[in-house]
Parts: sequence; structure tokens; C-alpha cells
Amino acid sequence: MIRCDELRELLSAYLEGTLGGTDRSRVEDHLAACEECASTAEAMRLVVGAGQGLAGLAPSADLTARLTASPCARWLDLLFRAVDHEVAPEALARLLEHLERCEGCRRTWDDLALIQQVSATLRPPSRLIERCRTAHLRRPRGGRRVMGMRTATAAAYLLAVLTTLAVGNPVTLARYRALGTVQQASEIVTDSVNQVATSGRGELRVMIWRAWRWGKTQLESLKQLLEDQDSTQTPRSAADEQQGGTS
Amino acid sequence: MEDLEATVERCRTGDEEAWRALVGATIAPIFRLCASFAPSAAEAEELTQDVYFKLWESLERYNPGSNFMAWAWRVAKNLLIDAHRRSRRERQAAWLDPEVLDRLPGADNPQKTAEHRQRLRLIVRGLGQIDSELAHLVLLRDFAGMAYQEMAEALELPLGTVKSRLNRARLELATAVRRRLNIRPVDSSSLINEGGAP
Repeated sequence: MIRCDELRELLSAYLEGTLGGTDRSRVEDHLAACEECASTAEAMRLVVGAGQGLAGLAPSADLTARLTASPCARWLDLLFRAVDHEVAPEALARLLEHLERCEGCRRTWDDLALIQQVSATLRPPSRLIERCRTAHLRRPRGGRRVMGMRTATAAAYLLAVLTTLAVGNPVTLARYRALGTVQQASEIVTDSVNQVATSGRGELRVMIWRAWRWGKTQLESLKQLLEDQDSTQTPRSAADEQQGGTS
Repeated sequence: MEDLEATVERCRTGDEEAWRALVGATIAPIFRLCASFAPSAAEAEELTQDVYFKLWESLERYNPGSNFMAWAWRVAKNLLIDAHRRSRRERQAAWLDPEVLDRLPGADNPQKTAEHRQRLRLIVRGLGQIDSELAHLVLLRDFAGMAYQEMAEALELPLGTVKSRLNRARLELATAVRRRLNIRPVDSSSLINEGGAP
């Protein structure tokens, strides 16, 4: 009869039914005589059998649909990482090829590149900065991150461009001479960005899309606000325009 | 039906129809792989999306003729291992999630489902007690359903080494499970799995 240590080497093959005739008989003889090995074999059978019970596991139809629905969602995901210099050269080459063909993604790329340049010169409100900085440290129940780093980056960029447009751009200030109104608008914008950033518990890509769409909507609202403000102002003289002073 | 290599080749040119075909052909084993390493059903779906994004991003590096599942493991290894780390820390697994259990064949039998869940719970606890690299072997083979050859390519190990390490992993897991169960000796003829290898 084979020894216990020899039997243990053969157990996986035996339980998977791939052991040849002679070895199989030797294993069965040993198991019939050795209580310890028979117990181990029974526990191992439990492990192998439980996994096999999951063979029919299928993903939800919704998951497949999400994976194949929007090609630009994948490209934009890559794009966000490219802006952060987090993609391999060959993936970047494919992205640039896609940008040649896709006007929508190209526009987003241009916007993000501009936003990144702008954000490098600004200091967004400390609440958002702190949140972005510590986002990867906070893990809510269930282990999911409150906000992915790419989302945090996107939110920070959005905030940067919006606040730049509102209060950091001397051309805007010179043109509209509406510091009070613009500051008020900026506070609304900042609060909204913070709300988006702090409620970012959804899926990463959905969050980025929401943030981006929200950003575009806010930009339009801000432009409209400034245009409305402009229409209520007394038209400025050519001398004022040339002087371009601040209020 | 077009072979996987031709589909991947078309994906590289940005062919969306090919991408849909690739997802359709591979989603079941990839999802099972992700569900084996994730701590919940929701995370398994999220992980599947991340893995597909990673695969899509890395298509240029796929060698025609190599095994897709083995390549998928190598590309997405870090994502999967991170998910498994959370799973171990939280002592949870996607298979214990009712959302997953309800999708399995035979889920309409409450007693069978409860027994299955109980066995899975024991195994999850056992997996948390053995070395993580050994646990990965059990997950890849017994839960994700990978073939030995796929595992050898994925782990870049000789076939014999994979088999012997898996046997060791199963033995350690069986020992951990035995500590929680009072398993009595049984008729050895009933030990062989009727379905054979997964």
C-alpha cells in the first residue's frame, strides 16, 4: 500500500478523475484503510466540487451592453489617463490615431490639454484639493473608493477652468467689470464642483461623464450669466476697451 | 465563426463590430475570473469593466496564437490581485453575494442554494488562511475554470509545476476547511468528481 505522503501527491488527479488504473486502485485501497487521508480527501472534494458548481455563472446582459455600447467611452477613459501621462506609448499612438478620426474626442482632448495648462497656474479651493489628495486613502464600506484618481483629476481640472473663466481671467474682468456678480457665480460654480466631487460614489466612468457634462452645462450657464450681465451694463467707450482696466 | 486571433486583429484597427464579437466570445470566462477574485457582485462587474478596458488598451501586445485567457490574466493580474486582497481583508467573495448565487443554475432550490452557500463560505474562510499565491491557484483552476495549460501559460510555469503547486494549495485549503468541519471518513469511491476536471 502507498504511504500517506505518496497518496497526498496523487489526490488532485484522483479527485479530477484523471488518475490511471493502477494508481487509482492504490489510492482507493489507501483511502479505505486510512481515516486521516480519507478525511482530507473529502475536504478536498468539497473544494473542487464547490468551484464546479459555479460553472454556469453568467454575467448580466447589462454588463455586456455597457462594455460594447459607446466606443468613445473607452477612448475617453484612455484620454483621461493620457492627460495624466499614465498610458503606454503604443496605447497613446492608437489614441492619437483615433483623435485624427473622431472630432468629439479630439475636442475633449484639446479642452483637457488647455484645462491642464490652466490648472497648473491656479490654486483651486482647499476643500477640493484636500479631497482629491486624500481620495485614495478613504475606502467606504464595501471597499470602493469614494472617488477615483482620474475623477478627482477631472473634477480639479473642471474647477480650474471654471474659476479661471470666472475670476482668474483678467480679460473677462476687464470686459465685464462685474467682479461682484462673477465672484458670486464663481461661488456657485465652486460649490457645485464640490458637490459633484463629494458625491462621487458611482462608477468611475459614469462619474467622469457626469462631471464633464456638468462642467459643460455650468460653462454655458456662466457664459449666459456674463452675457446677461453685459447686456445690462452701459456700453463701454472705445477708450475703456483699449485701457482694459479692472474694476 | 471567425477565430479569436482574426477578431483581435480587427479590433486593433478600431473595428467596433470586432470588439463586440470579442466581448461576446470571452465575457463568460472573463466574468467568472473576475467574480473569483472580487469581494462582491457589484465589484465583480466593475472589475470586469476595468479588465476589459485594460485588455482593449493592451491589444497591441497580444501575440496571435497565444491563449486569450492566459494573456488576460497576465495583462489584468494586478487589478485582479488587488481585488482579491480586498476580498481577503473583508472575508467576502462575489460568490457569496445573493446576486451571484441567484444567477446560478438550480437557484430556485432554496435548500440546495443554502448548502452551496455554506460550503462556499467555508472555502472563502479557508482561502483567507492559506498563502495568497496558493489561493490564486485554487481560484484560477477551481473557480475561474482555467485549464492547466492556460494556467501554465498565464503563470509562466511548467505544466508539472502548476499541477504540483495546485495539489499543495488544495491540500492546505482542505486542511483549513477540515478544521471547521468534522468530516468523517467516507467510502473512497464517492470521492471522485462525477464531472471530472472543471
